Amino acid sequence: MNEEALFIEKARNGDVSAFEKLVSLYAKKIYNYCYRMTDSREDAEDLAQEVFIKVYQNLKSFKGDSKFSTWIYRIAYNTCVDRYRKNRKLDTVSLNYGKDEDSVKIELVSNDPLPEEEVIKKERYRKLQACIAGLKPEYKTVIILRDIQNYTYAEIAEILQVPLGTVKSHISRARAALCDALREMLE
Amino acid sequence: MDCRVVQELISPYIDGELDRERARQLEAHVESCSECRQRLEEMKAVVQMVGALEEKELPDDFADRLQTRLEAEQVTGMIHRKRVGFSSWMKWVGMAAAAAVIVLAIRVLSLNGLMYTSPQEKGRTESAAPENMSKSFVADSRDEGGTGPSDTQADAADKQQELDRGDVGASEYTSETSEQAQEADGYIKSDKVELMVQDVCINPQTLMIRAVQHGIDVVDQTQDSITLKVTSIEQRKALYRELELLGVVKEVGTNFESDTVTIVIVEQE
Repeated sequence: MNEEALFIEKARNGDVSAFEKLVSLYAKKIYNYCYRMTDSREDAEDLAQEVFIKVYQNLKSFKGDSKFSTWIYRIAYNTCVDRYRKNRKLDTVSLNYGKDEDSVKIELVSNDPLPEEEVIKKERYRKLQACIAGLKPEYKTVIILRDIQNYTYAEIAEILQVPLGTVKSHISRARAALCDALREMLE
Repeated sequence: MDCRVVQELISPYIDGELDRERARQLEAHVESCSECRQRLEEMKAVVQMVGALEEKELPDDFADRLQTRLEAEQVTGMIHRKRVGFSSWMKWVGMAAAAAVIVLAIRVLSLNGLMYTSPQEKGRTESAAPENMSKSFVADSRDEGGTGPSDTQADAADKQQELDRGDVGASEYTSETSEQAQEADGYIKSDKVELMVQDVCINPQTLMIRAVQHGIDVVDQTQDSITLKVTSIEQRKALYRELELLGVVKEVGTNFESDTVTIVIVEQE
């Protein structure tokens, strides 16, 4: 039994420190996933915590049929989508922020002086993040899982519980939409 | 292979998801088609850029805040479970109340001299009757029978010792008279107390968290009160100590035989 499986087993039997170990293994990944989904650190923290509360509450129902990482990402995806549906905030806030040139300038001037190249690079990444956050949830989740967190097509299919063909087409369309959005923003 | 098909295949091509034949066809097409070549280069660059996005650090107090939320969740879950089992709990309350009525009836009869028990009979009664009820009966008859004050004090001291050890079950409270309960200080004696607070932040949730730390179960909760199930004197003492830290505790209950305590939060001006 590997270390993670041992923690899962112990946590299922009520071992709080084992659950804390599981949290420490996944907290940063899930927080970053939520951050890319929302483009807001505040929302990301709140959502990531909600994910771990759900994990804690449902740990006994985790049978080990799928990988634990897949299971926890599925909870994260569902939690983010639920939030999106509830307030439709994930898209609008992110896009407004990304398109607001002043906000980029404020962020840039408030930092220490940077070489011009660095400034341009930083601005480009800021816009890229805004474009990702502006995609619809099904698209941004595949971009995050595939291109940021390097999950395979098969793992993404398991997380989202959709056929492999759907994952392929979603990744393809999501990347195309991201290219279009970025091109439009940089023009 | 036409442009539309090629553009659909660019993404899996970047990920190495195309079979060798298809990949070869796509490569042949983009060599001769500048638009598709540009599209491929653009998508490759974007994928590379996305992959280079920096990972954000977790907020410093992430673990602490999660811990707090988990504790609150555990408590809420417990209330939910308690409410599910409410009907069976009520059944036990009914049985306890019936037992209390019987005990009181026996006391009234012995006070009125309608029932006389000789010291010898007392011993027999004690061995024959259920233990809780016999203790109550013997203690009460001893008081009424004019045994010396030293006996009464010794009995109270014995009782207090039992209480202090925390090994007294809820049913044994039925044997304790309200006068005896009021004598001992430093714990909650009746079924209802008022907690006079000046801090508006103190609410039933605050009390719930503190109660759970002492293994005290929550029975019910309203906007300004909480009902807890206390099964030992230790829990009554612990609860009293916690309440004293939050405000002024005032006993307002009249039932000294209940195994639940309702704490009503009263904000002082």
